[in-house]
Amino acid sequence: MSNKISLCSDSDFEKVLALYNRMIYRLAFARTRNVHDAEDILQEVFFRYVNSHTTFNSEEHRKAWLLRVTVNCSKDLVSSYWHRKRSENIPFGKEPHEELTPQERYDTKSAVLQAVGSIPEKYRIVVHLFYFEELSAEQIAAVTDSSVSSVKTRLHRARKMLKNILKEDFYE
Amino acid sequence: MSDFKSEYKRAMNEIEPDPELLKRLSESQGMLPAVQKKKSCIRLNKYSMIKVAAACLVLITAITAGGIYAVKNMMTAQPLSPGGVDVNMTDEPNVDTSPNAEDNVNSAMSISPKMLLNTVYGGHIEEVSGKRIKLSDFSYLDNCTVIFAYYAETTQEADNLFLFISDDMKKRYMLLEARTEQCGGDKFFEEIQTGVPEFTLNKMYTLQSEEYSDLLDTVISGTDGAANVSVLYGYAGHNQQAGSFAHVLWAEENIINSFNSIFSAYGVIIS
Repeated sequence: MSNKISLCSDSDFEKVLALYNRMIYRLAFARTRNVHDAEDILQEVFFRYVNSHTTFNSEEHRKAWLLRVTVNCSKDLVSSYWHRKRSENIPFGKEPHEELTPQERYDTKSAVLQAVGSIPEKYRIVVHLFYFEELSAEQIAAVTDSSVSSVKTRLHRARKMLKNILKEDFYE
Repeated sequence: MSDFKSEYKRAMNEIEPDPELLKRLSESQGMLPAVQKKKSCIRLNKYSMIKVAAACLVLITAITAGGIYAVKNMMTAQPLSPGGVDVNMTDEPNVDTSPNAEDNVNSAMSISPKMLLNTVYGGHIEEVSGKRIKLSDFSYLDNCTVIFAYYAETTQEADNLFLFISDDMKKRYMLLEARTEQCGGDKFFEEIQTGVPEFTLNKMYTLQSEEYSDLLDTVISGTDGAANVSVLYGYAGHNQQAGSFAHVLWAEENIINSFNSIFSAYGVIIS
């Protein structure tokens, strides 16, 4: 008996959205460090999901697919000329007394997040998948379309950088 | 003291997507098949449907503009273009160096300082709060002649954006579209960093650059006061496919300045 899963109806989409929106959003945020970009990526991933009509063999398969698409979308966005050239802060009449935006709140939230945010992008995504999603090096390699040894090297270098930044606050 | 993994997880767990966005995503899902079908239809008939529709639009626009021009000309018996506006079809904007240049500039149309950064979503314009966008009613623009100036990185993005501009908007507002297809995305952005880019400004999808000054002249001659003209700026961004959910438009100060430079060069002053 086939256990293939294909969610196409409206209610199924909502289930998938509810189940994976945070995972996608956080991964995108880990890569882009920008809530607006993360939201764009979230939309893009679900747009691709709905239009892909992919049949998934298991829930794990679906999760891996979504992670992979998120990584690809993040890569597309970050490497786009527009993204590289844009100014991060758009000065549109923000008064000093106004509340912090979500972006600003995230920027000042956690020393650990700031530390991870300060290392290069290719390391951030590996760190996120390893520590947050708790994927193995093999799984990360599959998601990021790279070799296992490359993933391990990146993890090693990322830990080294994080140790340098966080000093005694970093221990596993 | 918790370890790095716990601390990272704790911090990341506090990061949540905007509930409004999720709600909109959820609600928009049902629209996707229709949107997809529409796109496919356009794609299949790229060289027939679009061209025919665009030609019709240009024809209607030209006839309307011509009619207005003729009527106004008869009524005023004066040149329709205000002093500073150059209606010659030249690639380079004319710079008025005459002794009365300042007067000419002063008599040129002044566009109100409304610098609205907007996005189009199913016929609504969303007003920007900071960088993110919220849905809002735009009936306050009812009595304005609006130039909706936007640019797109690729032809596909421009096409998709055009699809998501509602028919109502197309009827009510003048749309200026700056396309980059002639110079390529990278070149466009390089140019826009340094000054006025040489992009094609289109009205209602097909207006060519040589028609641009005509369009501005029509806009200017069709309005009585500065307060009646607003400029909406936007950028059909990298995530054109997200248009199914919410077509996000971005604008940066240098982009707006570039648009303003163009308007100024043609005698339209953005105050």
